[in-house]
Amino acid sequence: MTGGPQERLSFGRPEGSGGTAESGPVVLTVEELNRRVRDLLTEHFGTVWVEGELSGIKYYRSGGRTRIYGTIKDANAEARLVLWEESVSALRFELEDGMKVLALADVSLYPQRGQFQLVVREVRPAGVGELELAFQQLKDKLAGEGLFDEERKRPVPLFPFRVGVVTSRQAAALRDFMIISRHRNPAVRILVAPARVQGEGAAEEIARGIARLNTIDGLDCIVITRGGGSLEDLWPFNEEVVARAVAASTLPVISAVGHETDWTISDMVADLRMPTPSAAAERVAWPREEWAARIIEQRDRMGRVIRTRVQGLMQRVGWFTRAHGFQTLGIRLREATQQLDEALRRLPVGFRHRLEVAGRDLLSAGERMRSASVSALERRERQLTQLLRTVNALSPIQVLERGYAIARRPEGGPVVRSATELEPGVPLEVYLREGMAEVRVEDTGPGLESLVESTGDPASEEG
Amino acid sequence: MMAEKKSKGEIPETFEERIERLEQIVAELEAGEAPLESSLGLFEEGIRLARACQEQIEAARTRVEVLLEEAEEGQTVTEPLEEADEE
Repeated sequence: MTGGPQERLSFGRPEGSGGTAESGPVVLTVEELNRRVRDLLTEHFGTVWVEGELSGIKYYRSGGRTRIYGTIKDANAEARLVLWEESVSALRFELEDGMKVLALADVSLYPQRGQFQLVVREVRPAGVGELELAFQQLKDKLAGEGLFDEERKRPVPLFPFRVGVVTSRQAAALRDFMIISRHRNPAVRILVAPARVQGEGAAEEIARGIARLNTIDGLDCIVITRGGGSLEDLWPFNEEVVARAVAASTLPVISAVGHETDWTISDMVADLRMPTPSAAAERVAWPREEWAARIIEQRDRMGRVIRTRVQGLMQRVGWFTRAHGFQTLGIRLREATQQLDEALRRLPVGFRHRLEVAGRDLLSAGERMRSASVSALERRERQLTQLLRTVNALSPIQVLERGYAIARRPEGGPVVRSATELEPGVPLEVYLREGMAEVRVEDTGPGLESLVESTGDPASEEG
Repeated sequence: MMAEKKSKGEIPETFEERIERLEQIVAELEAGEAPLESSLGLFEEGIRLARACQEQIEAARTRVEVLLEEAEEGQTVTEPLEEADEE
């Protein structure tokens, strides 16, 4: 009992590091032992799938490389795991504590610590699809940063004239765009930034397309689009690099990816989501004919208002001039009105004509119309301004001041200019400098023509 | 844009603003509260706006261009997209 350990100790002491097979256990350096255990583990297990729950996950970033350390465990056991750079960059989602996963791993050993560990090559979420998980994670992350907030959304112009489109040159979405915009609104120009819209590297190309279009002068908005496909096909539009590019875009971005039921991350970050490429095309190729008709309608309405206003004015002026026999002035006014009226009438017709001959040389027609209408209008405006001055100068108050009275039929009826229009018992309103009187005709007879003659031309008196 | 460089100072730049101003003028005229002289001023402005809108709408024909890879850094090169691509 006393000599035992010593005996064993001396027994085991080797002459050389290799040891002698028959004489008992070999003596190894720790380093060598660990290396052998590692090799044994690797050879014996190779690569295995391990199912369990992650815990203690830590990302280590240094020099642009990222490694992940942590533990995979179940109810009664746990094992250390590590992911090297290549495996980390292949991950589509972030590893989190508590996540249930399937890990494809080489069983190995960390020699410096003598610790058994799994070198993980690939991780799949257990129970939920990898893409669904990645989608949810990115969605939560960006939502947390406020990238989906309504306040961030910029209005997309209602009437864009130049639209940048990020899509594949071969995409059906691009054909839709060209056909729809040609039919609905040939005034909208389209600039395509070609990018692959599915597969490896597509997300980076889409992001770059958005950035490039932002450097172009005169663009009104950007559309990123592709037609329908599998979740995998649409995936680039769920990648962070695209989401970041959309968020960083100075120009408003419309995202139109897949079918109506497909919602991508880019849809959520974009200023406007349209359900399909066609819907996006219709949104940017606003209906030109409708708006052309609306412009004409506005023009016609303006014309009607002005005609009515001028006619109203002429009636007011006419009432007065007829009453006092200012015939020359009346004729001048009527001529001016007629000319103005014609000028106004011509305008909408000219415009309608312009539309009908769309495609021909519209600019020269426009120029002719412009010089005709504007100079006529300016002349009319000067004349009317002059007329207004005259009318003010000849306001009835000033005439009544001189002792005249005006007789009219009651309740705004016509002015009475001749006694032959009257008979006894007819009611009249007589306007004086101050107030008016309601009177009834007693009798009629010849008047004092000489009094009217002697007033001469009041207009020249006023001037 | 070309159409906007031609426009006079008082006419707003964008189609949207022009339409908005035009409709505002029509509403003002129809309300009938402005004196005749300023009504005529509004009318003239409205006609200029309508004309500008019309020119803007009719100026262009659909053009589809493709942004090419820059020949040099910062350069922008485009080419028209062939009709054949459209089907």
